[in-house]
Amino acid sequence: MRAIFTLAGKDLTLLLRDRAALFWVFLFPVVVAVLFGTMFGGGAKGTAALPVMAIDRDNTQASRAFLKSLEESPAVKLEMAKAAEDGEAAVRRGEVVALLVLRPGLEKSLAGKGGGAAALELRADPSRRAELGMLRGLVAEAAIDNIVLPQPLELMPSLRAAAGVPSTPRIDVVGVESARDRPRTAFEFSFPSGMVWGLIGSVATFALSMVRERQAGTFLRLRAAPLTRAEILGGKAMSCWLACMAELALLLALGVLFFGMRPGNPGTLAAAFATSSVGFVGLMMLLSQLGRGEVAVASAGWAVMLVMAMFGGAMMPYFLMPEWMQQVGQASPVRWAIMALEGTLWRGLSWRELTQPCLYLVGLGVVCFALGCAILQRRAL
Amino acid sequence: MIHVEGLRKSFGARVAVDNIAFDVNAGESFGLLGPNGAGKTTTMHLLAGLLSPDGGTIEIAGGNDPTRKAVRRNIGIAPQAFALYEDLSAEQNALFFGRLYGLSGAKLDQHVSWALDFVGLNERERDLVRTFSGGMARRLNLACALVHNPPVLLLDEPMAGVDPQSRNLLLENIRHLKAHGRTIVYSSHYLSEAESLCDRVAILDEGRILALDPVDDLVASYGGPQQVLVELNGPLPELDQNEKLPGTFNGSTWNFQSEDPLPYLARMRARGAEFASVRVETPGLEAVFLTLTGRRPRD
Repeated sequence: MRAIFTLAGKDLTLLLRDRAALFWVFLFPVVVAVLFGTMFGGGAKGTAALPVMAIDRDNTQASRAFLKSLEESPAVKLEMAKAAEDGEAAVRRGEVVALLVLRPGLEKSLAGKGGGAAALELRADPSRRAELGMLRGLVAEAAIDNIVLPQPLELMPSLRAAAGVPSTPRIDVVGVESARDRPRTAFEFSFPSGMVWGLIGSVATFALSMVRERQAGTFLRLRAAPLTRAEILGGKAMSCWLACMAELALLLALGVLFFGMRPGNPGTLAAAFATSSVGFVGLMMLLSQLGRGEVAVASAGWAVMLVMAMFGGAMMPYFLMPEWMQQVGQASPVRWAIMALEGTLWRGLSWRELTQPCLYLVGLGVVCFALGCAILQRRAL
Repeated sequence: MIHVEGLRKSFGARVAVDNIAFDVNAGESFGLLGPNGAGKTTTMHLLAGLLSPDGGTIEIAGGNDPTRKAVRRNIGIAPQAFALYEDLSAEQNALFFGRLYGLSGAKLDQHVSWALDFVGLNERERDLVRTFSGGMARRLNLACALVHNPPVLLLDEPMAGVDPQSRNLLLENIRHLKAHGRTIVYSSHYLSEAESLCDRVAILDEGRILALDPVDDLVASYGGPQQVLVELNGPLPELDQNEKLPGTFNGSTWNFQSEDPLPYLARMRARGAEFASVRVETPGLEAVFLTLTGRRPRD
């Protein structure tokens, strides 16, 4: 293993010194993810208003006035739910930020006679913290606007606090687990594509580095060293795999820190990252043997990968493709990598559901790697 | 140190190495000379374990299979191509190749420092290889072959594309290595270097060894007589009809071959000829090469 890590360390050092490679592996995927995420509506899905459902169980003049105030706010898109179950289902699907329940006793609470009980309840996905925080502020604002105060305090709002009148009714937040069958933000949709573009960039970079090693004679020198062929190729595979993982981790970090992504299970996420990288490492080995020179490998490699990207859903959303393209796309590793990445980033796939794409990617990686090694072996003899 | 017997290698229908055999003693410098396509590089690659032979045996430093790791540890190869990472510094290249041969820690640092110092690159050790001249890259190529201190060195065209200054430095390096007991197998187009460096030389052509001997013996056997070039001052003196001198006359130039030219020169002088210059060209490997292969080494 020491030799493999030595070889991988050398390749990663060379990667860090190659600006063009750094662009394709790390910068271009970020550009794709952010650009497409923004084009498809970014974090607000094309609207500035927070979608909210409400149910009025107080059913008083005060509760209706409260809802009217909330509805008038340009920051809220309010829709009444027929039943609490409908609202919760919408929350689970990610269609609304929360279901607002106006509990019986709201009117009394707004008049300062409600005791300590909360008169408002937000049933929401707790992971949508930013939107939930904003919504709590808007709800509190609407409540304040509808507080019934005795004269003269109504005319002198500044005296409210001094008089000890509660200015805001308590708001309970109840967690509703999201079903995550659609992305919360457009970035959750665009980042898996961006990540796959980074994998493609890694494949191109390392396939070319294989050719350069052959042409510069360094591959010959490696073969003359006391290393097995498996160690030499293992070193190349390890460096490509680590670069793929680093690119995926970078995009994940950016997505979480700046674009409101909230990935699910870390275990399935790690599995999706690892198997996607394995699949593309195998592809790299095979593509590096498609020609003898840099031009041949670069041309053939990009041609193959662009077709894979086109049919696999990295250029346009898979569901927008005609059926025949979707059928063809089933053979593309890009499709399976996007499935695995989306599955863990926002679909919330279980381990069982993730098995199929992960197995496909590992299988493809192993087969392509073996084929690439066989061609290399044949040429070297 | 090296024993090769009945070595054969073909690529498809083309026979690259055809039943060659030679021995190289410990501390000896052995030259493989031949025109392009003669089989020099294939032989080097077979010795380094980069290729598996179709037949025959190779023993190096006590091991009988250079594809084995233990045998490879005893071999350092400087390939014909630079075989260096251009975006790494000289030191990083040497460290990397040293690690591949199992060196680490202080021992690795010590070996790298020695190798770079030996080839005169210690002042440029932090510079990227892409900034090096061809000569400097060749020297680093040698340093990387030496970094693990192997008893056997395979130098495949080590002077190709090198400026005169670097060539002299490299020649000095190789002489030093030879003087300190390294066994060197050296392939080259440059016959003058082979003459000065190699104890024995094998002339290869079309995969076969045509001759194998010390340089002097090869020259004596195949080099032919000395070539004498005389430039006369003034006209050619009149000669008797029966008096025969060797060679050809062209204006005031007299050109002849002889192992003992002095009697001829004396006879000409006695006829009143004045010599502007006399040049005696001793045959070398070039002549040997021409005699054996019918070609010049760069053909």
